[in-house]
Amino acid sequence: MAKMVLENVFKIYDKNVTAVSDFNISVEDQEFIVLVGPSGCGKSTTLRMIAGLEEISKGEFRIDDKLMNDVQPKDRDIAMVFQNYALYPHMTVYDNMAFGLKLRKFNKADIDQRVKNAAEILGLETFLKRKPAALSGGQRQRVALGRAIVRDAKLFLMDEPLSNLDAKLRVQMRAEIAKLHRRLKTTTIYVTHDQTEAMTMASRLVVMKDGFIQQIGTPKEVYETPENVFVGSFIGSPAMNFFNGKVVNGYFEVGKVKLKIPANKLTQLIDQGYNGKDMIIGVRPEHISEDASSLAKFAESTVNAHVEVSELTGAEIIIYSSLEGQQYVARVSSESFIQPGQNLKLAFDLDSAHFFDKDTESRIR
Amino acid sequence: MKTKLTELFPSYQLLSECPVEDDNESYIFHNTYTNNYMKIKKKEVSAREFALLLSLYKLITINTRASDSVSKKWIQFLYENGDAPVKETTDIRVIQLLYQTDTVKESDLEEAVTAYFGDSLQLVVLSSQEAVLIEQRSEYIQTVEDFSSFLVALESDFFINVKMYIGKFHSISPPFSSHFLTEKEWFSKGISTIRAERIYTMEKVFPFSLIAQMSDEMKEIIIKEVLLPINYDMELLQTMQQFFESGFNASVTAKKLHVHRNTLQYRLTKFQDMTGLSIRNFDGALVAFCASLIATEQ
Repeated sequence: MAKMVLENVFKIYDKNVTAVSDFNISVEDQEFIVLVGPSGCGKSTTLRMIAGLEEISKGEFRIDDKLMNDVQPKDRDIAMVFQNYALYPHMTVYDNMAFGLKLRKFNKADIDQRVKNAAEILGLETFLKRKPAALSGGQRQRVALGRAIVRDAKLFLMDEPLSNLDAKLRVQMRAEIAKLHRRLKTTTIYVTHDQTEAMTMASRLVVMKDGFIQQIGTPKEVYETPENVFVGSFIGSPAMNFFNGKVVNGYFEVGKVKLKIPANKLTQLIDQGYNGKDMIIGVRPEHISEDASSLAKFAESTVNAHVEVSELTGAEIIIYSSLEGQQYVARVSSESFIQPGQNLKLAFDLDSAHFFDKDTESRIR
Repeated sequence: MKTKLTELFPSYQLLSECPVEDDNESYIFHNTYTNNYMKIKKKEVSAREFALLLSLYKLITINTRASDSVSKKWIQFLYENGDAPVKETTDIRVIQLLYQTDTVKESDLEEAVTAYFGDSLQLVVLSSQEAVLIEQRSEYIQTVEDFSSFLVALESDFFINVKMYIGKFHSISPPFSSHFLTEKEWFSKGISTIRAERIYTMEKVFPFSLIAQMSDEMKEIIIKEVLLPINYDMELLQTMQQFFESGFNASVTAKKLHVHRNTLQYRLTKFQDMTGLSIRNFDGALVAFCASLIATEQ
């Protein structure tokens, strides 16, 4: 159990290459924090700084109020799980799980108890005598988790632990890790590029880009109030739609198309001097609808759409179309029968839309 | 700095390589930042100075254990063209390991190597921070992925940051030692030019070395024709670089970058439109690759 704080943390390599800039977070005991962002955004580097595998160039890292910057990685009471299982092919599952403890000079009885306990938690009791080659991908990943669990560490660090698994197994293991966290209650920092994984597992998300934190919040907060265009586009699948346009006489004009801005949002925009200025509007695919009630409710923000592509995903249909040359995606119920090439009317729910500054791409509050 | 150290310690020597022999009379310190080694006679260092040096640099312990051991033979073979410890018709390669800690016990490391590679690789510990793995050519050649996974295993069990250089297979007959020493130089070059990397090979270090030696005039041409038109867009350049490193395979590139194939296609087209370089042709790809390295260097 641990509380963890990173304060103004930087990772700067030679020649002033900055991999992580001014990273700040205070993680409460038992939280499950997910660092999410595209390749090269600094999430793994941040994790490696916490582990002590990379030096912190600037800033402070504390666990339970103790400064950890100069504490040896082995003395930080941290356990790690990585994307590739990091198992020893010539050792049995039991020995793989016991090896780290043996290096730390735990006595045999203690090692045995910890390994058997972890095996029971992970359902690996019957596999302890097997070697990794005789296990499936999911079982190997469970052993990798077991190697971390036996340490009974204050902090779990997981770097894309599910990326090697196929889609079906990934979903299953995702649920298992969440269940494991509820049982062990160990503070966990989890790195992924997969926004679905991030949304479903995190108690809080840290969205990163180019070494900078873009937003920290619960999955719901990040999804519903993205701080900027990047967060809006990165979190959510299909991604948020963005349209360039301007506010003119109470409407958001995208070329010749006009969408009525709700009164409260309009006041906010005018007060901040956005009347007549170029800006960006973000609309989630589920906030574009074709049903009669939406068309009636948002009668002044409807558009004529030509369906370029439609994809039936089961309960929903994903529609691809464009508005004044700007591509967008809508997600509607599969009760509607929508075919490519069809023309239809779509309602844009601007109550749920997000407005961003054109220059800074930041959310307008 | 050097002059001041020489004033303090007349025997002070700055070395680019870690010494192999321990004269028992000197301390060896490793400057992990510049990757140089400093040799100072023990008798010139007071306790206070020793503590200060220790807080700034890593103290290196040369492996002098078991003078007649297999390791000793390998060390003599690698550094001094000694007799080959295995039959002379074999091809071998050397995988160098550098870890920035002095807490790893040799017996523990040996156990990890055996548990990972079985008997196929021989571990030779050179100092408290350096070791090599000797691999003989066999039916199964260890892959970069195998080594990458091994490094991760070491990280999670030993809590050490390990850097690795995977050498080339050469006949064990002379001049193998010169191959090894050249590869040591390449490893040092790699560490100083691509610091964030963990696994180095000649082909990974070579392009960076080439760019470092390129004339300013040549660099200017690439900046003018490629980097300025795309406004130093690092996302585009990283995409190009990954595309080349993935063998021009769009699916693999998209997977490695964690982006949709269409996004990748869009970026490739955008790059071609902005620079006029046809990146699917070797000539265009070469220029684009150089551009991404120059941008990284800058």
